[in-house]
Amino acid sequence: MAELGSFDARLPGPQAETAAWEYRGFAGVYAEHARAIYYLALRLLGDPTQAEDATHDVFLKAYRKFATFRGDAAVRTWLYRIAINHCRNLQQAWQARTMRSNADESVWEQAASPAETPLRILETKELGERIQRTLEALPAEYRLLLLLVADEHLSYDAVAQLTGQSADAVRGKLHRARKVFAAAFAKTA
Amino acid sequence: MDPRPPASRLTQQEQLAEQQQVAQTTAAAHEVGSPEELLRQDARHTTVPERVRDRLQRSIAQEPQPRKPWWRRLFGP
Repeated sequence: MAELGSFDARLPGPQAETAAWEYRGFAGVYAEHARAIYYLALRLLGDPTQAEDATHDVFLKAYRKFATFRGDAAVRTWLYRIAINHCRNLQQAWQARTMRSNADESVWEQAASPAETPLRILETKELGERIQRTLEALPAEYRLLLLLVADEHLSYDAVAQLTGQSADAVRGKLHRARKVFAAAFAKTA
Repeated sequence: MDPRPPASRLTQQEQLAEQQQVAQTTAAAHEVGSPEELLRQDARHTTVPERVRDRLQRSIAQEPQPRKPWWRRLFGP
């Protein structure tokens, strides 16, 4: 929960920075959730530099709103909501410029291998690239769903809240999303 | 053409080394049961560049202090 306090902005540069950073325990919030937010941004935007910018902007927005955060949701869910909206806005701006469209879902459905088939992977640096290419081939809804469900800190109810649907709908779509992902991933080998 | 000599011409040590290499390659490949596991593995190997934290710290230092609610201003602290 947000804890109100104060810091002395008149301190010399570095000290003021540290004081502001520690203010209300925000350093702890960043330490705990930065990787999850960065990873989501990285895989949604597909560009490390953009993901860095997005992570910075999401946490800055969160800092500005931290005093009004009432703890209705878990901090991570709240941060995810900010991140999803932020990435969505960026993507909409890009799409408006480039008119890129998502892959036709039916193509993947037809080619989908069973979701139960294990995904064979090699532990190489290429894994991230393959995952990125796979996610980009997925419909945006499935991409987000899988990324959120992969976070073990989020319940199905939280994922449902973040994606604006019921938990049952999440479970149903997840089954299809897994199949589509497996088929797309196999094609990246 | 395969430049390697037939197995019979390899010394015992060379054969052992080759077997070890094959075993290592096989061990490096493994299977995951679901896309979520794959994404978790990917996330675990992803690190946030330190410069993001530094930049955020600088940005936050430039932010005005959020205004305290009226009851806090009135009754403190």
